[in-house]
Amino acid sequence: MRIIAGFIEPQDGSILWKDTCIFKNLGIFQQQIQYMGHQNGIKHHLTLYENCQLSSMLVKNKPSPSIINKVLEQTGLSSFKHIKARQLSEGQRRRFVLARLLLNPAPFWILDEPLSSLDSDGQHLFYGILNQHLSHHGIAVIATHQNCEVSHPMKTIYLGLPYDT
Amino acid sequence: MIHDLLYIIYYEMRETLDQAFTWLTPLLFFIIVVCLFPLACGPDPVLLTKMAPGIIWVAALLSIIISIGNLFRTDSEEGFLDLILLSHYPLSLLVFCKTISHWLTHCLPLVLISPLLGFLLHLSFQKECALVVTLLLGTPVLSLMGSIGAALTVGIRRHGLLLPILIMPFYIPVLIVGSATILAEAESVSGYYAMMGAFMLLSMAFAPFLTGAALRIGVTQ
Amino acid sequence: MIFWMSQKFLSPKAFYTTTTHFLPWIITGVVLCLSYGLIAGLFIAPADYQQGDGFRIIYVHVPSAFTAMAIYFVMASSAILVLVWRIKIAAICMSSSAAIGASFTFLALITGSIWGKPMWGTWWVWDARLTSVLILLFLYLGFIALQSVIKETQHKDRAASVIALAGAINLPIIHYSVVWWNTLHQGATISKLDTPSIDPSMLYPLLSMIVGFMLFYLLILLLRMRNQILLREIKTEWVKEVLL
Repeated sequence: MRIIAGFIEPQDGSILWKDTCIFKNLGIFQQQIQYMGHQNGIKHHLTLYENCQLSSMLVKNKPSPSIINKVLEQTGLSSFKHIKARQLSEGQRRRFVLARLLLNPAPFWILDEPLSSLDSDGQHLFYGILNQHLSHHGIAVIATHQNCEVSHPMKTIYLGLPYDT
Repeated sequence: MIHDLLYIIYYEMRETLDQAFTWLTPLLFFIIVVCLFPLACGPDPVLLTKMAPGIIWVAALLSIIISIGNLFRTDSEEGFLDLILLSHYPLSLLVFCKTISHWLTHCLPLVLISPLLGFLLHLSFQKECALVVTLLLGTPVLSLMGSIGAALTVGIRRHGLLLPILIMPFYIPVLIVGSATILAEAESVSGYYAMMGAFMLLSMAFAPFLTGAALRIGVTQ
Repeated sequence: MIFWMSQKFLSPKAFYTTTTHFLPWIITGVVLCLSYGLIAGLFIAPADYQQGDGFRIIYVHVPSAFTAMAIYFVMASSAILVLVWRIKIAAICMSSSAAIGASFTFLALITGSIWGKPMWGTWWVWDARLTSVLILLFLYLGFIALQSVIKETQHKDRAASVIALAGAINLPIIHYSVVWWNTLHQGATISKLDTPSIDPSMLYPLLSMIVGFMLFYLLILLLRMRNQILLREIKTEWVKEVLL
């Protein structure tokens, strides 16, 4: 997944986005993606609200406070708005990543094990957000061990042992 | 844009200042190392005056090289480094902001306390002024060049003292010019300051790009 | 021309097969140059009027110092090839050269020190040139340390290239600041570690030794590179054939 996101260069082969190799102009490609990896990308010493602000600042997005509040409410985090991220549980931090996906729109989502650390409510929330993204002509590449309940056309690639039955 | 960058610097500084441990220990290390020299070499004021610029500069060097190793550590652990790499702002700019915040929280305290240490080592007032100015001009260079090393070692666990070994040779010119400026006579000193200024401007121009390149190389896990 | 070179040298396999033919020639070259240099330099050339027979150490000191600098230059050039064009052979060249360069630097320091004893009476003196060579040794050792810590090949090559390049850019700055530092803190009677205006009977053996050392470096470099190629490509067919 990190290769697709452009963090690592492939030993062989190439990755094409809109018919051009992403490594020809990595900046342009990376401005159009949102990446969700094993780590949350959350600053532990800042509050959730500040984390939202910071992540938006990095992508030159300026959401108004009302939008941030709305997103936090949608992900069920509004009561934790002003609590430092280090005091939250892993599930809550994972939901913050979902909030970040909502807050900073991008056409291409690269999600690595997005359902890990999420309880069933969180998973439900994730599918809601994903479907919303897909309805707005977004694409997503997801690596997961679970079956994906998505109401949009999808292509599944199974990675495993060659002689798996 | 400037507003955003200032916010980023502010958040970085808050991270360091949040726990006193992070910014206080390099400062204490600096003070302790300086105090070790009179203990080791004897309290003779003449000897100490001669050695003082060197002692303070070396101690500052050691303190900075140790603290700069952690520049990207928390970002790497929190997965925030990915966000920095994906940012719409140029990587070198963000790296430069981080280095500025490092300089403000780690190097500026050293500069501010150096007159006191110079006094302990029997430096004259004039030389103390020179000391402060050279540290002011020299510590940004140390931060900037150290950030290249920090970026190179970002993914490596338990790299121990690799960073000091890598970066110390690059610190040597700054050390030489910095300590020589303090010992210099008044007439020729402006040339030395010019050289220090040149080092600072050169490193400000080139180091962030090298650090950005090194970061992209280092983020492979 | 470049196309021909790239065919012969660019891929690890091509490099391995091409250099197999070179080795005997290089060994001959090394033996010839070193024997002429040593015999002419140590026995035939007349004693220096100022330094007596002690000056003969330059036949080892100057070539080692020259080779040490040249090797760093080779490493820096390979680093550029790795970072810009991602050439694997250049990375192998760079990592193989590092230990050789460090050894020659160390040799230069030791011989410089041995030269110093009869000349200045001390084993070590902080003059500009020796100090620069010492810092060069630190640069080499830092490079080797970085290489040994990183396990993953591509990461290792590129990180090491960055440090090699940074070192090469800084090397002139370091050298000039050390020279300047030396003039500032001029100790007492340090006669410069210079060869006096040099008579041809002394010069030709010296040049021959320099060439001999460079060829020796080339020889060891090729041997190490071939070894590393075999190690890196161990899973491929042609290596399995070679090893059998």
